[in-house]
Amino acid sequence: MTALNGSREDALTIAAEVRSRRRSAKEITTAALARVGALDPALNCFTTVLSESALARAQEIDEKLSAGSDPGPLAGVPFGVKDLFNIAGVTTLAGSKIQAEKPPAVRDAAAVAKLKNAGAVLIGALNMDEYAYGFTTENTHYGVTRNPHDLECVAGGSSGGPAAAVASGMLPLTLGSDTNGSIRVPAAFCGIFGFKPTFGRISRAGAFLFAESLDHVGPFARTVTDLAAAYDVLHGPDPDDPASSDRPRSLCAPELKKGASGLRIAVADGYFADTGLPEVFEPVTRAAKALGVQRTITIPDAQVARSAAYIITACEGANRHLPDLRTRPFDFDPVTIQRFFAGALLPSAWYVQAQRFRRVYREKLLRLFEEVDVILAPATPCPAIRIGQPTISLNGVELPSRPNIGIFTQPLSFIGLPIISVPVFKPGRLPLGIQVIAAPYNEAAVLRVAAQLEAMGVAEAPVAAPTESVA
Amino acid sequence: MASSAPLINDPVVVAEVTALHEAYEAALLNNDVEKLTDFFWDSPLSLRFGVAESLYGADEILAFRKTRPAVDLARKVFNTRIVTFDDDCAVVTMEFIRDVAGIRRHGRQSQVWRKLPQGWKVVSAHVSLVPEFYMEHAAQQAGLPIPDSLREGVRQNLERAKFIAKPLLDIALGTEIEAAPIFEP
Repeated sequence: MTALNGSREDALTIAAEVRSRRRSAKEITTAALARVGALDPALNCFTTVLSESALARAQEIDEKLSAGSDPGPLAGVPFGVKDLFNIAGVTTLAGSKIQAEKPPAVRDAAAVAKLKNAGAVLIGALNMDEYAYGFTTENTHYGVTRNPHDLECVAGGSSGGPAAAVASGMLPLTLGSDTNGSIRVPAAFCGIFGFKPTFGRISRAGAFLFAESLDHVGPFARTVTDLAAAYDVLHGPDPDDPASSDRPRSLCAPELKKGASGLRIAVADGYFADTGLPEVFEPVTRAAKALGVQRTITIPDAQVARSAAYIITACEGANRHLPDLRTRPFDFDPVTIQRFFAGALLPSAWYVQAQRFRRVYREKLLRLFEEVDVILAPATPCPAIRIGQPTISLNGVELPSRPNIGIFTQPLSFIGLPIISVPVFKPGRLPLGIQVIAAPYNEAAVLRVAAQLEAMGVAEAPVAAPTESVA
Repeated sequence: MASSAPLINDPVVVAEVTALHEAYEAALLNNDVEKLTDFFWDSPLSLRFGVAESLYGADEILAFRKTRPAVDLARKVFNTRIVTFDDDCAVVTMEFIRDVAGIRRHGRQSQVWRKLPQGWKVVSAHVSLVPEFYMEHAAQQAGLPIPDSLREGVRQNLERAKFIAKPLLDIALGTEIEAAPIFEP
């Protein structure tokens, strides 16, 4: 059998083809399923493949087009979702063995429904760390998701399946969730664009929560226009999500053509220029140079913000699972169980302190955004680590890898800022990510800067070359 | 008189004291007050420091034994060390794990034994509990028993959380600062 390459086609190109009836949704879906069949055995992105329902849905779209009606802006675009979004008729696993016993979901999660309503075709559910508690997608129950650029390395996590599925060219668009970096970390490790909009901007209704104070939903893609298109479909108020913002919708795709002009951009120094391998700061420098940015800015109290995010995550994350921790601790993933127990035992004083500090930190950063519109920072302190690698060496100190991969992402999602992890490649090296960060609700600014970097050739998300083991 | 080096850990003496140690442990688990009393030196000079009580003399030790509730006596002994000097003196030390009111505790015990005309007797003893680890107490309060095989990992995670939380706990927050009940960035 010959190796089947990943597809370089982006979502909007596919939608244009389908909408103009140059190709059928069925043809596109069949090809996507074939790519999954060929590439996934080596990568392990999927926990469920929905061949039948995907083909049926594609046929519906083709029929709509034949009948002259509009199937939506993402017509025929194959997509996948992290296996914590409910899919009607499918049991949501959330990376756990325990959830596998639960009945199938009755209806689609809000974000899944929105993409489907826009004409996109759901191909399957994608692997993750158990209950989203991790940065590596090394899942004992469902296996590790491998990095398409180096099969011996992790894809990052917790949305590792969604990131690797896009990076390998199996799918042009996927959905993930980000509590402390779970979209930005795997996007950086896999060399694609990952977008975590403002907290509350995309509904979490029907998604299995991890730490509700911090959980965000967002898309992965290989182009910025695809991210904007997905965001425009996905965002907006939803009464079914108590954290959903009431802000009216505000479309971003029309803003992209403005590029970065007129935006005040600075590079984060201090905490964000300190603890990391020297190579992770290079892409930020490159991007700043390309954009003509000389200014640096200090995000105050980033270390404290990281601490607070960690504590809130541990407490909220564990609380959800108390009954199972009591009765069936050995059904959890051995790599997450001790973290869950510890989180269940932290003093309430720590948690309340963290929640109160969030208010203070928010005020400080909102003041910062009076001076600048966009801040650039590295996404991770290292490129993708090897599978099973227990420690990373940062500034000469060996640190446990799992809790430290998120040091640059945690302080920013902590107050819900919109951020895109923008991929940067260097020949012979694993990709790295730049966080493009803006004030709350300024999604347009991060998309514009990401689009500018893409247009300048600084940012790119090439499909990973298929490896030998894929053949 | 010039002192000569004592004979240390003579196997015969060690065997003798080991048997006594085991018999004492059995009597303790059965709360056999008569036997336990007999193991101790019947003298106003004998001493027993318990976890909470300081008992001076055989009378105080006996009085304590008689009123002691026979609960939570079971313990798992480890790291027992017996050192004997000549044929009439021994130091017996050991560590133990014991559940006290449902909380697993780590303890240590030291005894000085002396062979007197009436036989081997404990002349001085000290029992202590290692200060209670937060994890044990919190787990008990939360009704969340931690399986033995996970304890060390959970302990390490709590230590890590404490380390990571430090900057947060060090920061001063004004009394007017409240958490946002519904967080709006």
